Amino acid sequence: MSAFRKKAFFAGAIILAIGLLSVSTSFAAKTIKIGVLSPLTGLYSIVGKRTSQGINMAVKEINDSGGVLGHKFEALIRDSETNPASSVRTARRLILRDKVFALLGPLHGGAAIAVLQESKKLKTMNFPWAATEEINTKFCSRYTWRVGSSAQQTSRAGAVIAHRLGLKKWATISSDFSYGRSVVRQFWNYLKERDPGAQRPYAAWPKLGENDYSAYINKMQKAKPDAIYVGLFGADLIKFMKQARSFGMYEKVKIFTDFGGNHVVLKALGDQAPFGHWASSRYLHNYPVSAANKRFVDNFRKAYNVYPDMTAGEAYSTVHVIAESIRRAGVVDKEKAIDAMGGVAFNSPEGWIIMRPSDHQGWQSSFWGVISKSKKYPFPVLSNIQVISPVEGSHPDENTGQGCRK
Amino acid sequence: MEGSSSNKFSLRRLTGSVTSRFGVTALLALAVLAPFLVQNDYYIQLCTEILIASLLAISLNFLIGYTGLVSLGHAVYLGVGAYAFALLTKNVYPSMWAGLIAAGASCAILAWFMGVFCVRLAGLYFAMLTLAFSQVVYTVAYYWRDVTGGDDGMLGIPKPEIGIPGAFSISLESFTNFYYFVLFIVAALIFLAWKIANSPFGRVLQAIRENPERVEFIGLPVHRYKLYAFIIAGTLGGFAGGLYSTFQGYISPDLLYWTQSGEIVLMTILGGMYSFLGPAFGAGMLLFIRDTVLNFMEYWRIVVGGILVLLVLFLPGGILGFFEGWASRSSIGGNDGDDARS
Repeated sequence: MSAFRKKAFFAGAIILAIGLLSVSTSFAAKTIKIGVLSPLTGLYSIVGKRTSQGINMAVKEINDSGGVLGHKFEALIRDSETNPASSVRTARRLILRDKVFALLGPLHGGAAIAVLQESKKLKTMNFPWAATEEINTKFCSRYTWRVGSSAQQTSRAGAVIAHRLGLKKWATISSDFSYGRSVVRQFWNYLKERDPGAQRPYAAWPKLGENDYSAYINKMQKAKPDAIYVGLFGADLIKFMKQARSFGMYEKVKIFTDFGGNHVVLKALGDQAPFGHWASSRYLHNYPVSAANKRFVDNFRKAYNVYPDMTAGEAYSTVHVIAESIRRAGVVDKEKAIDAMGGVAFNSPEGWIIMRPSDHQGWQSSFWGVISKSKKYPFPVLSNIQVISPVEGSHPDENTGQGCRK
Repeated sequence: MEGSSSNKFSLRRLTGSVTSRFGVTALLALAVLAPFLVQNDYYIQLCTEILIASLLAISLNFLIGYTGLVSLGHAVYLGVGAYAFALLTKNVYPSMWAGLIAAGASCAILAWFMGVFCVRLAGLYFAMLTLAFSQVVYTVAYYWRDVTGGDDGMLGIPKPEIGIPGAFSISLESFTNFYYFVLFIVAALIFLAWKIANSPFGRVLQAIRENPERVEFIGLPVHRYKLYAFIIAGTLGGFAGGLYSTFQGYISPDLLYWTQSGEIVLMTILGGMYSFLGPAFGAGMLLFIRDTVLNFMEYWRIVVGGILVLLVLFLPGGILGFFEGWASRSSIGGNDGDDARS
């Protein structure tokens, strides 16, 4: 009988624990809830924490200055697990149960496209972190917007630099999914447009989360390119760079990395970073040297004791752009904020961002630079920074955004 | 019945407590009333997902609980059923029934093919081969970009309306309508599964689980029975996959990955694999815990893992299995001499 009691006790304890967990918390009446899908676990977790920090900082700034139209902001940050199925599920929960005003994220390109279809159906504005350009073209809708740079802007800017340097023979490597394909497609098509003589004897498409790149690096070396364009993202990029270094690739070719300029990547690579090679970042803590950027970096360091990376900068700007759209609308209303979104301008840490009404993309400059050691910082940074204007880096207006009016 | 006296968990308990006629009626009534009780679109969605997961877990239990075959590749049916539904309704003909039949049929064929190889093995070797097969299918789905969309998956899978053309039609776009549609399909399939499990055929499966040699000596073709169980499990899993596909509107190769298979095994163990409705109970618990814990922290698997450890140590029959055992022990006389044990 005592064994039975023990069993009953444990069963009771489990049920009680579940019951306690499901007690819901109540929220203050006048809040604007922002749902955030951040990759806190999984392949992209390297940037998930900084994303959350960027969000929290923007929310705090807005609330400290009195909120928007008398409403406080509140961020509900949830894990997207770098996985489409859980991203969609969490997005539904944030919209249907938590009734968020806007949905931010996720970062994984495939997940982002799945989530934006869901947010369109449930009539909630969605700002994916993912940079794949299909978000502004094929899958765009009234509810889909993006403040951060698109792959189109960054990769085309990379093609501009590549063309300037006169590099002819290329190999490319990128993950086999929406964003990875998009990065390389934009780079290569734009380079071909500017320099029809450019050749690409080898294009590698490893799977997302690949751990061993040696077969790809071997083939790459056999193709004898002048330069390689690396579209890998997150932990994949770090793994690839370390392996490429052990094969002596740093000395043999010029390397262009689309994501390699991001602070968390350079910090993780440290002394193994590809010094002297080109990389880009959609936001840089050391450029531009503006009051807005200095204030952002100083406050960020004060709050979290780390430097903001690319995703922190983009997340921070996104929250402020949403606040600005509500101010412009003059009323806290989901649909009216969307009506007011086109044309919103925000003096972000990375410079002015203007929300383009046609394709719902934030217009901004792209930055490419050379990975270098720095006296000022204990980690590698980008120097010799080239600013590519949005006109040069983006499609002309009439070619994009056909879907955004739907 | 000397043979079953060594059996720690008798399937006769199916007729006791929670799965008694009263219990089932109450459960069904609860399921029918659920949308009115939760009053929130999100929770209606969660209930829909639980129903689909229940069917999936019960289908796996045909192998684990009934026949004693631990499959680590059951996600393959979820995935193949989902892709079959999506490919048919998106590219060929947008019909709910055709999609579901395609999902079930494709999985029946796949299960037959896989089963021919798998059922000849036992224990760990069986588990490994099912795992290997499912990983092969995963890899195909991942790299066959032109058909499956690769890692990006397939988007915009429709919820075709049901009804008789020309007479009437019901849109399934509303959360409540879709819930009732899923409830109807899942309840019908679970009822079918229950009939099979309690038929003489089902008894043979349990005999195989307890003592395959003895069944062989009686003169029954063990391999063929195992193959049938494999095909039934796969087909039911395929229907669950088809429903999942239209429910989510989006699928990706993750559905086929071995971690997904592990999750289905987890549901089965959590609820109790020696009870007919146990796996369904486990599916509901797993999804409910995930949903609740995710509001507080991202490491929901720790909570599920902790509960699983406690269960294995203290309630090895699973949660529903425990309650059913408890009910049959405390009822006067018990059944089948169950009370004589423990």
